[in-house]
Amino acid sequence: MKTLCFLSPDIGHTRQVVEELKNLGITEKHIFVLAKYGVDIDDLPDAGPDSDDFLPGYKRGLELGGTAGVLAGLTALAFPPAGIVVGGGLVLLLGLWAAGIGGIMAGIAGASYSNSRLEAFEVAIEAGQILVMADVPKNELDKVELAIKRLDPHIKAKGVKPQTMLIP
Amino acid sequence: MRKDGAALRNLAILGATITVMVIVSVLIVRYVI
Repeated sequence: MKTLCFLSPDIGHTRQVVEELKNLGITEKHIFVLAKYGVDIDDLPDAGPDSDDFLPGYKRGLELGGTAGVLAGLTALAFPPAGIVVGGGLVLLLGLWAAGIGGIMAGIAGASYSNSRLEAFEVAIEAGQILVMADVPKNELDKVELAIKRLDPHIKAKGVKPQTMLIP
Repeated sequence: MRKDGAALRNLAILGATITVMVIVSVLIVRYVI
């Protein structure tokens, strides 16, 4: 599955795109619509997990936290505090806990921001355009993109968005 | 409905992270330290 992105100029065009996607056999749970705050898209599928920055934040937290934890553990190993015996296990434990806590904190913080992977569309969305994303099987990418382009020249196809990896 | 799904998924990830942290910590303390 790949996520195809389209920018639609207004809500009428968006409804058309969503209808066309459904006609092409894409189910509603694979269609995501994202608009700026205040645009009424209640009758359209929402952006689901892509609306916030939880997963990208979680991934960044895991990476940065894990690195910081292992570095702290190695530093403690090289310069052990007086009276404390430091072994390899402590490096592992520090790395694990720093990665876990970093991921949790960054994920929770990211959940209150809009998705950083959709930064490319932020200006267009703020300008009132509506982003439509659809999870399409790889072998149908061209067919769906062509069908939407044929539907209306005002709708801009923005190519494929990379998938979020759950485990970075 | 879908937003609830996203929130549940986030909670599941947080829960799984804490569970893995605790289990791996116990294993490290038991077998490495």
